[in-house]
Amino acid sequence: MTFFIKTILYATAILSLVSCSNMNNVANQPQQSGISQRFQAPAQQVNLALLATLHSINVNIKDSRNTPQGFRVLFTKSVSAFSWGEVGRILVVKVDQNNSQVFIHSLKRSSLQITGAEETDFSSVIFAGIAQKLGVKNP
Amino acid sequence: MKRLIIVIAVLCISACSSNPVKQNKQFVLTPLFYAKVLTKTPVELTANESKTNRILVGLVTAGIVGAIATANTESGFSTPKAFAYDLIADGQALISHFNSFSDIAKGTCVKVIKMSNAKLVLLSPVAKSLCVRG
Repeated sequence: MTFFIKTILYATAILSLVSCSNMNNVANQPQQSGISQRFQAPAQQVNLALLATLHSINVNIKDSRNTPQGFRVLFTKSVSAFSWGEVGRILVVKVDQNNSQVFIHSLKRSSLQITGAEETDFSSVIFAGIAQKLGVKNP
Repeated sequence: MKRLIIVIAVLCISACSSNPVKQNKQFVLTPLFYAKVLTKTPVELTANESKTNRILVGLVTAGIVGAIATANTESGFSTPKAFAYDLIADGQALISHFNSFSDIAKGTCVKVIKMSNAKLVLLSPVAKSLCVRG
């Protein structure tokens, strides 16, 4: 009986962990997913400020490219003693010649995890970094 | 049973601390030169965090369950994708193999920007006139 319970518990633990979020879960989400902020700057400038910001913080850029929606960056945050890691997507959408909107969407790899970096943690640091590099005030 | 309790405890405790998203204060951007994009090819880079690293951390932290869980990553996880650019400055000097996450079309005039603590560069599109020295 103990063996049976043990097996069930191990299987549950493994299943819940192997069903973790991965890059594909965030990559194909609708454009409006996540937290967004508008910047009074052309998209090209925002793209540059975004990449500079991502290089200056503790995330790993996995892919970046122009898509029909806008400039898209996929990133991860590494596994650590405190977290199984996070995955995220950033979209820079051109609003008009002088305005752009940045959407940040992230997920924890393990949905069982209570803390770890939230979408708000990524967005506050990234939006502040973009604003700083553009030389504008972060609202 | 004891081991299982330890595994579950580790899983719960690992979620009770944080490793915040933070900015490196030493980060500096240095503009290098203007050049025109001659060729652009997709390139795979060495990962900061590879699948092997994740599995090792999972194994050490939560045993075989952790190893199995951390092995579950998307394809291409260990090979970040960027672009390798060949640039031409002053209409003649070929400068090869600049890796960048910037996605810039061939023929565009760019400002090449070096980042401290990074092997990659940033490319910023600029007016064509800046690539032609009068």
